[in-house]
Amino acid sequence: MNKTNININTNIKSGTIAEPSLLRVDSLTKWFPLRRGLLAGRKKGPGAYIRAVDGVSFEVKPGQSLGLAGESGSGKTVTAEMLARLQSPTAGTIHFLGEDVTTARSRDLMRFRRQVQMVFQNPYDCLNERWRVYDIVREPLIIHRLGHGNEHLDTCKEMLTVVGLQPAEHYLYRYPHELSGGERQRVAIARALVLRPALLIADEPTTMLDVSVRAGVLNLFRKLQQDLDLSILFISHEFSTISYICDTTAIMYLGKIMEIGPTSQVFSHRYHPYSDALAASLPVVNAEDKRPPARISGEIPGAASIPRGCRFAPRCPYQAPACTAEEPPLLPVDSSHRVACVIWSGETPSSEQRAFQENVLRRQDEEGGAA
Amino acid sequence: MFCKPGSTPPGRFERGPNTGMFSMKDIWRLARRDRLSLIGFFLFAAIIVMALIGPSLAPYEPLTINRGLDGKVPILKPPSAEYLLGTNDLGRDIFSQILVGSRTVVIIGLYGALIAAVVGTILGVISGYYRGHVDNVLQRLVEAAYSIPFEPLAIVIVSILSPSVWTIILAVSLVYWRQAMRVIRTQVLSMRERAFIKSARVAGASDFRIMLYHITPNILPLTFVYLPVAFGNAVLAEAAISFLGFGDPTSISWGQILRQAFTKGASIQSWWWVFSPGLFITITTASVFFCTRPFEEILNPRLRR
Repeated sequence: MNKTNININTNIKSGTIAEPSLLRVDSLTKWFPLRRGLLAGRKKGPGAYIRAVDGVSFEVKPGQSLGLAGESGSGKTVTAEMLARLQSPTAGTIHFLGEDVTTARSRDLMRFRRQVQMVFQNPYDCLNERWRVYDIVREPLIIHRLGHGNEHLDTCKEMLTVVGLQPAEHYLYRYPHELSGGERQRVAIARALVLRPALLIADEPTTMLDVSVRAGVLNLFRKLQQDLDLSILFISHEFSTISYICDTTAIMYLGKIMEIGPTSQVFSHRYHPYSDALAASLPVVNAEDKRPPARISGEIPGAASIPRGCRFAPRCPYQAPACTAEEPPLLPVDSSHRVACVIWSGETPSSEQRAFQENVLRRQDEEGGAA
Repeated sequence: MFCKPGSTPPGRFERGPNTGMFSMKDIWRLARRDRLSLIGFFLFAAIIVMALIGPSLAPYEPLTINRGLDGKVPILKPPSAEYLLGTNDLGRDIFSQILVGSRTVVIIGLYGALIAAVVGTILGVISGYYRGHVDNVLQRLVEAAYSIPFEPLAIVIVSILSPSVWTIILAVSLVYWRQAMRVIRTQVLSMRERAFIKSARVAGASDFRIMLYHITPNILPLTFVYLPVAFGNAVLAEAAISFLGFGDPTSISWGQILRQAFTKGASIQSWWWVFSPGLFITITTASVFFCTRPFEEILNPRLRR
């Protein structure tokens, strides 16, 4: 208990971080109005908007990868689409390499697009069915007027080789319907990489794939991180894939980040009851490891009716009156780890909350002892 | 009724799990299974061939007043070996008139349908892609096109401009772009949310590029669906205008033959004068509507057996 309080204080004072960030997102927000037309915006208060993303802040350092984890409906995809400038945020800013790109247009936007590319969830939906692989992979080069036709061929062959479609000649002139799901996703990755971006946004790129090819695609992402020094913003609801790819992990729930920190810490310490529950829902191979089953019940509520106070409170097994009073801010518990939970920021935790707290600290100590 | 029972294999669509699109191959596959649409295709092809080579095969000049060997004008003769579909009150050969008239009908049908389908496709793509204000304006235009009855509009246009084949084509395309536009717009509305369009936007593609290279190739089969529909409508429209007397006075068409028969009051005694143009109009429009049967099945999967 003492330990965490001290941490909170030191971190608040330490202020901004010196190292330049590749991507910095500040209180990014996307509210979709429920009513359209003349009366839109007239109705105030809860229910007037779907608060898909509700003030999300994080940063990605060059060469580092961030994972966004959470249930369906937690706002991961909307966040990704705002970062890829496919949707415009309601509020908040996006800085890329120190430059504000939140509302960048024409030339600035094109420059941004060369640096930030995206891979989508559904490989059966993300390729133009009427185009051949060569045309698909090559299109970004044409759009950005990079190189000539004969150079395009070499670049595309190289890209296909990089993503593991070998021999490239075998794939160049095929249509998407001739390819398997895994091959399609690799073509999509090749298309995203052909501009040599610094950041790749990957929106659940493996969830639609067959389990047998999933590992291959994940290994490809790992390889790209190392070989191309690529930063990846990886979205998934699976802890295991995130922990395989990402240095930092943010746990999202109903449009807000609940916990963010180094991946290994987030998964081992699990400061937030929601992170704990997500981890508990993972299947375990080791039969000796007898963890208590996940204690959360029910469904994620709709983003049009976000609960008062902590948005996770209604489903939280450690809920106390303090939880519904006011939304807990995202506060540091550690030099690089922040959590939004009353258990760590509140003054008087309930006995159940204290038990959870002790549990986390014990896990932390055990790990410290082992290291 | 024309379909052999059990002749339809299951799983005819070779396509991705959720694309919702179809290709020309699918259309042909569906058409081949359906005898009625196959008959439609062949009848339609026959009409086109008739328009291409028919006028040069006409046994008589269509507007010449013929004279028999005895020097008499063959007035209102019923069909015979000499005059295949009979003659009219001026001794003109109706069969020759039908052959020559087919060209006018097909020209109006093809151009009218082509313009209507192209305009409908372009506006549908723009409307569905941009949504918002653009869509709002274009949707009001479609509603206007739906609310205008065709014949009065055609009469107004013909009286402003001179009555000619091109005026009729203009009237036809002014009205019949509406169906294609509506259907294509809704398709584009759903297509623009698909990942490959998002992928193009992330790659930096302009709106124009996305509409031209990504959306249009994927909705083109729908345009082909509406071509025959618009063709059938155009043929009927031409017949109606000509029958009302607003057709091109310098060219022969089936509607005009009908009009002459009607104004001469010959429809009761000289059945052949009315029957043959009526039959050809029916065959033409029926053939194109039969052609669209497989398309209907694609657009409305519930009809699939």
